[in-house]
Amino acid sequence: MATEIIMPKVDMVMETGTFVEWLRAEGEQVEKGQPLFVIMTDKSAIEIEAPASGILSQISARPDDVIPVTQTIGYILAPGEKAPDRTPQPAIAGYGSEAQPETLSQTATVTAAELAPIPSGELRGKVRATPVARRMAAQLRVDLAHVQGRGPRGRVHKADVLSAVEQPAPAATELPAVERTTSPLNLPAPVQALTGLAIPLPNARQKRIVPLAGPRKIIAERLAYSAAAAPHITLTASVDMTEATRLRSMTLKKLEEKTGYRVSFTAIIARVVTSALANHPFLNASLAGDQIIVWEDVHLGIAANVADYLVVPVIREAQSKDLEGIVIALGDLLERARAKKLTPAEMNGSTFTISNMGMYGIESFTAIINPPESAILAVGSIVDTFVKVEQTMLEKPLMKLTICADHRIVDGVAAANFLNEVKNKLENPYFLI
Amino acid sequence: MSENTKREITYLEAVREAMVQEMRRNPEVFLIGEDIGVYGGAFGVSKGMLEEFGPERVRETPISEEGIAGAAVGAALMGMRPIMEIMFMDFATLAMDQLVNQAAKMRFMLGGAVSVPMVCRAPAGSGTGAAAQHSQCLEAWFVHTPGIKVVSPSNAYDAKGLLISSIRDNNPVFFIEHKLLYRTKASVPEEVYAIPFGKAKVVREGSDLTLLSYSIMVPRALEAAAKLAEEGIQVEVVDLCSLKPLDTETIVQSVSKTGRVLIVHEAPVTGGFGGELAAVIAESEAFDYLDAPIRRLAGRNIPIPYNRTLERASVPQVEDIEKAARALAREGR
Amino acid sequence: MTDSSVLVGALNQVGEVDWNPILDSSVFVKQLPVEKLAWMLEKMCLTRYFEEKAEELYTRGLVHGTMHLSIGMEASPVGSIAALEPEDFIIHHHRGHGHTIAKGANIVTMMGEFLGKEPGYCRGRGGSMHIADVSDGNMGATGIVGGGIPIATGIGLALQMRKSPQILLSYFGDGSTNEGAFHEALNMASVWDLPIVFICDNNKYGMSMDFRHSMNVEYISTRAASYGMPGISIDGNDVLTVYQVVSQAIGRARSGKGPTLVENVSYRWRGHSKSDRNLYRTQDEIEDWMNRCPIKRFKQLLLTSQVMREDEIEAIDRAAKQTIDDAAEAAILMPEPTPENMEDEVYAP
Repeated sequence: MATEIIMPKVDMVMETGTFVEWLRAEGEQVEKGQPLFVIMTDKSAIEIEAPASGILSQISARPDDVIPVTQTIGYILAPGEKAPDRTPQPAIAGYGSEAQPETLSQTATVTAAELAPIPSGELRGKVRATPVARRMAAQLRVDLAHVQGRGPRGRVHKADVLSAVEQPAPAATELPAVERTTSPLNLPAPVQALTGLAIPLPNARQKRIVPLAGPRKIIAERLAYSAAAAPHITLTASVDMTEATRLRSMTLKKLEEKTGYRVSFTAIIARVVTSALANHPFLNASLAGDQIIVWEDVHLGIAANVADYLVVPVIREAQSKDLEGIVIALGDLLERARAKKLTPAEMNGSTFTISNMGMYGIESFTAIINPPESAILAVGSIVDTFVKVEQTMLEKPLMKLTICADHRIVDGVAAANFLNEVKNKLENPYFLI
Repeated sequence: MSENTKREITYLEAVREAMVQEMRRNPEVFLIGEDIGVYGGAFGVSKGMLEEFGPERVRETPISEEGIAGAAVGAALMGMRPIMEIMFMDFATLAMDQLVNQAAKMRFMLGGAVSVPMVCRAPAGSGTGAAAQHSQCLEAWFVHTPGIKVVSPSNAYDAKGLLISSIRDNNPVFFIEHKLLYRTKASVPEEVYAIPFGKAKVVREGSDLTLLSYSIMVPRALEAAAKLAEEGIQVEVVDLCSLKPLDTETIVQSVSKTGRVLIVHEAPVTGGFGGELAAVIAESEAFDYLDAPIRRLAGRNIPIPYNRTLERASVPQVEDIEKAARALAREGR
Repeated sequence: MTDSSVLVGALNQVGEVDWNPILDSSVFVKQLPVEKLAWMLEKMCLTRYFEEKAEELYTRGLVHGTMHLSIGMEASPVGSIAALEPEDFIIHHHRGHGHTIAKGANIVTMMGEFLGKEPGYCRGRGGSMHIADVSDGNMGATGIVGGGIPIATGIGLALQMRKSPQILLSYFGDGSTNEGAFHEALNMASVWDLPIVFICDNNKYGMSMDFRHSMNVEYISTRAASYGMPGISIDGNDVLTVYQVVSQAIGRARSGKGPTLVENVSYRWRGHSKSDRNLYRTQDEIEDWMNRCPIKRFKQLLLTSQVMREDEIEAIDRAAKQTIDDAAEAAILMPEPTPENMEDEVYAP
């Protein structure tokens, strides 16, 4: 009777074994108990004895195959006997020569729970209150932000809520400060409906199936949400980069020596955008429910393509950084992004995003807003273009800037004003030094 | 009220009385441990028992804690009800395999085919100048071990009733006595009575703050509460009595009522049972009623020192409880 | 202690005991009823086939966890339990399939536990290491080396306090005699004259540690001297020698003379557990001991002494193999336990 030779389980935690070598050749007579083949476990190489006497046949395991335990790797047959039919069993997926095509999960440090958090940095807007004070405030419709807490560091206790009910606070004239929340934004119904839409697939031969997971899944969810929920307006302007280019070459050497990083156009644009945002609050804002939160901080996201996927490292509090500070922060983030050493926190919580595709030869493009932001600046390549200047055609390095903004909170004129300020500053950039 | 209920005896006598009464009632109950015979036990708990029950049932052993615990486990497997005495709770370390790997797991491991009805009695606690290896409160280790029950009475009345329940329970029970409580007196009825496990007691009612405690810290908490009452702060003191099973209902009710909770125990704060209590409260509906952070007052993270001043300073005293409770009661008021 | 005063048939002996002479097995075999001999052969064969089947099931990935095989050591549990009365007790160690089978466990229920099934002895909670049949006086095994010896003392104490005629066999390995628990327990048992026979299944290795490197006595029975307890070491691969010696130790225990330490010198053919690579011993040594196979020896003895015919012997062997094959088949089909009520057995009601 044919005896199966299997990859044996020789260890409590063993799931696969690496085949090392056959100690006997196919077709040879082997005796039960004789060493037959060698496998490698995570502990050591071990010899496995023949489970029966007979002729070694139908061997399928080859050196370095990673084989699940109990899988048949050959037979021991009586003379003249034929091996039973069997379907070939591949080495376990994820091992061996063909690596999984997509390795997104290796970098999947971003989890769904971190989807679109409201940026941090506004703890001053956070209300300290005890659980019972919060519960009572909700029941009595008291805004905790207007309750004077008598506890340590202004913590609101039950007694504070009760006295606030007795002496109502004056009505708020400005937008009330809101609590920081880390819970994801709720997707509106139309977006949820989209995900359930059954669109028939084409009748075509499939090459491979890549699971939608990790960062790719998060990107998909965020951008689908943004495209569906935020009505985008798009405005484009051409910027004469003559002076900015000159400024860059003037400062390049000095800054590189000082910071260790090259000064990129992205860094210069980032510095200009940050300074312009101070004058255009609704482009550095978030829509949360029925509130528009205007951010004091500019946490500037810089979209970058690293190892075939999109990352948006964030320069925190960019408004407090000069050009040198931006160069250092950006240089460091991109360096670590390439080394896949960014933490999820460093790729989250931006209030405005710049996406520069100039280095890919793209002249201009529109972008999808990175929620919960209100706008994104799409930067094209610098192209030498003839323009008419005072009756003469001059060759100028022009760059197209496109601002895509959430029309719910950014008016067309507001977006235009912002874009013009960025343009003016880039054309007269010497305030930067 | 009969004459009996007015009778006052010490905690130590109550422990002895529980053992004596159960041993008279049930021939399968016996006491096993070091120096429990003529000597009467290191603290005199078993004084006179040898005379009544003889060396068979007041079984003196070599200094072999693991052997004692194993003997108790084996006898319990056979259906007897051994009470093993560990001279100081610190020495439970020497019997850990038998208590934790054997006694606690035997029933589960054998699919419910056996039970291990034994009691491990041991005096815990500091205050006697016995220093680091004779003063510990190790209840958290045993609470953390599924298969063992843990009780820790704070007074003579509870000591008797809980020990009787421990002896009658069909599981390994760690019965934690406290050296400083041995001489404290309470009104204890002479008749046999059992206090069920898993029932905490509200030993003082109050509205401003709940103070959760057990063992020696209960009388200290009551003393502190009496002083605070003079200032108008009404502290509700809850004596947990048994740590496992735990009466979460009484805890949640009291904390929901007062909105503030101070947890007091003698064992070091880090990894102590107080952390578990805090978690139970935070996970319960009492959370919604909390009007201040949950606070713990417990032993410092040090071995118990020898010197009297240092020893006192290493675990909560009445004045520490008073201070912590006052601060918590006033927070935000 | 291995001097001229050592009893003929014993490898080593300590303590003041008048042992009855140990007869050569070729003589003693004729003094036992054939049914008894057949029982011994059957239990040894069942043990061997059970473990070979266990190994096969494990290799096929049907067993979760590990197991400890006693192949080559079958004579000690079978020879000693053969000397017990049915109502006596045993408590044993993690290499305890033989003890459990010899004490009369139901093979199907046992195989079920081995596979972690609900109808198994421990409802799948214990596994290979903790198979116990408490109702039949098998108090189970502990996975802690030496952990069962103090419990044995407690069981012995209960028997003595209840003035029971029953006695207990307490088994442990050579490695566990280096644990403090061994010392505390044997000392207490001796001080109290408890009705216990302590049996050391010396298989030469504490996991990978050669016992000669872990203690400075040649025979573990020597250690009995320090407890004032008689000790004796014998050929643990000779089932009838084991039977003769343990019978006498049981007699001492039952008559209130106290415990005895019996060392059954044997050898395990397989590794310590399934993760063992046998790096610490030679193939020659293993083969040398395989030639001293207790089952082969016993079969040979039965044949040459003309107590049983070859076909009778082979019938017992075949029946044992069939029993094991059937048990495995039945056990594989048993239902798995479910996790819903796992807390129920942590505490007794």
